[in-house]
Amino acid sequence: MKQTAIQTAEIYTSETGAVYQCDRSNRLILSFAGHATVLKVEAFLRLKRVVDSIDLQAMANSPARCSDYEIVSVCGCDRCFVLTLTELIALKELLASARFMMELNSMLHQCLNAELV
Amino acid sequence: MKDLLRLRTSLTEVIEQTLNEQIKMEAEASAMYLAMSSWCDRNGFDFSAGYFKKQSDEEREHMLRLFKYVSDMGGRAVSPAIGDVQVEYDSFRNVFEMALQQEIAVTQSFNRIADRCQKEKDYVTFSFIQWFLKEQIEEEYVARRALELFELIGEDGTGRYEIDKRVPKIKYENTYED
Repeated sequence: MKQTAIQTAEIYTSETGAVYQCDRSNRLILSFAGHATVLKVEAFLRLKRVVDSIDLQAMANSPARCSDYEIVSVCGCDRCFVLTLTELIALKELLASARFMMELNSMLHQCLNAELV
Repeated sequence: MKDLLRLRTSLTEVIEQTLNEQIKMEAEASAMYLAMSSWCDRNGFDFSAGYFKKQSDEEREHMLRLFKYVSDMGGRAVSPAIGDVQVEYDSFRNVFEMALQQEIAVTQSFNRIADRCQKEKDYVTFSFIQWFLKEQIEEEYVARRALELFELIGEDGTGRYEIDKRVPKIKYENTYED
């Protein structure tokens, strides 16, 4: 049986997880809390928006038990994240950093294209 | 490594989101004008009911114009959900006050979009929204003039009847262009 290795490029790695990019399938791979999730760019950006919109301070201040966890589920992502405050902080940092590196890559592409013209 | 962010569109995430927010704002304005049309109709202001119906159609057309642009540029245009729309108004005058308030809010929103386009160096979108910026001059003018009729004619006696008759006749004349 012929096996094809999936070519992935690392976008960002933190202590808690990593984000990779697959140029063949144009997908992002989010490795977090022991699971890998394959996402389209739109779903990745949507996930980032949802995580960013969670009020971490309110979660930390609230004595209610339901505030200990947050359930994150976005359209286009088959995984439902159930995250503690610590995990949320880590995921937020990971997504923000990966997004920043993607933007940096985009800017490099722009500069290189401008050089070619 | 491929540039996945710009693989399908040159629109940045920020601009796409801003335009989708504007699509929602136009849809809400359209719904609001339709509610105003209904209120006017229920209270016997025939001409104003027609005027607001026309305004509602215009706002929806603006929404579709923005929607088409986002789609044409390879972005993701979102058909917006509209929340509860106010159906009752304090008075005939209050309806027009709210209409002017709405138009001013739309103008400010387009100014913010223009500002964001310049910050993002997105001159294609900047050029696209010029049409809306120009359109807002007329929209604001008509809404302001309608409200001024209340001062000019007065609401006593047959005043409101006269105002109602004159509202659809308000025209913006762009004397110094074309």
